[in-house]
Amino acid sequence: MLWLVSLLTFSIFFLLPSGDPAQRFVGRDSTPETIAQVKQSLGLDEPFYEQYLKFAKGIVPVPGWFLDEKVYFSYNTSVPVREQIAERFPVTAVLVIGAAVLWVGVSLLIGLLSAVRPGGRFDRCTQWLGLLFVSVPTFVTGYLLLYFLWFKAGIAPGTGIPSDESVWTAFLNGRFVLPWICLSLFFIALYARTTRRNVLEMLRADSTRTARSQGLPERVVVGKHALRGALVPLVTMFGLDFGALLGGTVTIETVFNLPGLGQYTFNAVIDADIPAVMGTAVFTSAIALVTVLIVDVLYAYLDPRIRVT
Amino acid sequence: MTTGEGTTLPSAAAGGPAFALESEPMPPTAPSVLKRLRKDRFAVAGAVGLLLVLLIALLAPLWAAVTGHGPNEAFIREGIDEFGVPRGPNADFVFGVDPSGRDVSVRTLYGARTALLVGIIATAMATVIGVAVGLLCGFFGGTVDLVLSRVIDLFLVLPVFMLTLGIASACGGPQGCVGGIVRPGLSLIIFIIGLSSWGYMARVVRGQALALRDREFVAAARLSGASELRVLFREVLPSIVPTVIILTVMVFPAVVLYEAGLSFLGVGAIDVPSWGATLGEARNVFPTAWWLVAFPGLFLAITVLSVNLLGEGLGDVLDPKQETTDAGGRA
Repeated sequence: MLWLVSLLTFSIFFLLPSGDPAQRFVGRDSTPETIAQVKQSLGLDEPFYEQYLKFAKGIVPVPGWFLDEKVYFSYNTSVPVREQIAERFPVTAVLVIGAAVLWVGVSLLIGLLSAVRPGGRFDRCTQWLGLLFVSVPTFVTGYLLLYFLWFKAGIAPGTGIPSDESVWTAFLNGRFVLPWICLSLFFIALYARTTRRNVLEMLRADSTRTARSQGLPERVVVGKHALRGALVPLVTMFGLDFGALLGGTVTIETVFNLPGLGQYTFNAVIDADIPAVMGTAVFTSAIALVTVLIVDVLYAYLDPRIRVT
Repeated sequence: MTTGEGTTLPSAAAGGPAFALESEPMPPTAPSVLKRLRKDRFAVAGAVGLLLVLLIALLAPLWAAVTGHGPNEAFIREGIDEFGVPRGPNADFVFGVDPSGRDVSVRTLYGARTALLVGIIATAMATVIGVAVGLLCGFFGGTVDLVLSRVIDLFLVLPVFMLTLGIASACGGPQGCVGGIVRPGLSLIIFIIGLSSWGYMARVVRGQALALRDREFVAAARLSGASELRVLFREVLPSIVPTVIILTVMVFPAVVLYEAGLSFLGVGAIDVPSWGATLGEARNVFPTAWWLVAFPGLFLAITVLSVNLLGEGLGDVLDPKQETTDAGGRA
């Protein structure tokens, strides 16, 4: 799968006529000779499949091969792609992990509470709010949060991370709080809905009836049995979303001016910086694959039936 | 939602088919659906909102005539003050002015046209492709299914947003791409979005067709001598219509948000006013120029929310055991 993604990405960007990379590499004052020279040194004069093979080697997760610096070397910034990813991934990771903690916690709570009394006031309120928050794009929520909490009230820090601050200090200074809220609102709405539906379904299941008939208190029936059953499909959903987000959250990073992986990928794509595009594509696909693997393990833990097969 | 009539059966084990077909022999008829929709709070709210957006889309040229401001016309002298800051809402410019000196009210109304156009055409594209591929897979099975299912999987895991960005930025230049065959503009954006939004639809339709293939009424039609094509179009296709409608209503908001996201990042259609584009232009000035966020953001939210509400209502009415998805806008 990783290989297919990389081949397709490469083919598409190879075929897109967005300017000659060699031309851009040497800059404005260039003679045909220097262009030819650069082309040769970058390997741009080789046929399609040979160029691709060099990139393909970078997929193999062996030290020295994975995202090899000689091949995955940005045309535009003349920095190894690996270095850039290492620098930017922590920003995206802090953003996404923080938001994930928030959204999983809050949405499970809301989902459970609204499933306990379906059709009640709390349920109806959260249902409308949920629909509202899946409908407003993150960049609008982001602006609103910034406008009111930073610009008007002044209780939250503004956008961006000063260059002398490490990711960790930025984290401690609360620079991620608004991005977390912004990113998680959408997912809270989505996950609360799914949790609610799953818990409701579990409450109607035979196993719940059995648990009730054993005289277990309702708290245990809902909190332990129903929730556990409801979690299983949620874990899959979470794995996919989490993996995808770790690959970069362009709009959030743009609104809050965070130097994350999403912005890097975006600029690489816009500038048709093929090594950078390939590098981030390989990296993000690998991350997504790893998350899916972790999810499978979690799955077996939550649902004993799967362990057998 | 399950507050309405009919209790749902406990779901098949985790990972089972998303759309378990229960014993509902015939899809509900259109008049009865409409009747029940009118009683659904969500559906009514959604329909009202959508009508509002449709109305402002239709009235956009009228408003442009009333104000005398074209959608792409710049009013640097009247709209931008001596510090280069766009002016806020006033008698001439009801929704204020954008950083390029254009009338936000006119552009917001025209933005409704863009959003609806993208929404309708790209959703139609995704639906046609998704249903066709899904039916081919599920109904015929075998090698066709094997190959096409891999294609579906591929479309579901591809970094679609990235590829879209690449195509949109490479073809968005004035000279277009592929030797000028692909021209930049709204049609390119619609095409890209439609082409990358059908994967989920195809997968669900495939599952349904697969389940229907072995149902009694399909077998009965076969036994009575109906041709494969007839079975496909007269028996299987009508049975999946409710699902397809629900899915279509879920694709629509996703597609509208997709366009807004692309335009926000500056790779959308440049030739037409777009809510996303105005929101993107607000990036550095929004604390002072709040009107650049408020108006396009409000209408974007109303549009997407209305369709989502309609979908919620339709889900209640058509299929109490609906599957909600993550077909929302992704960051």
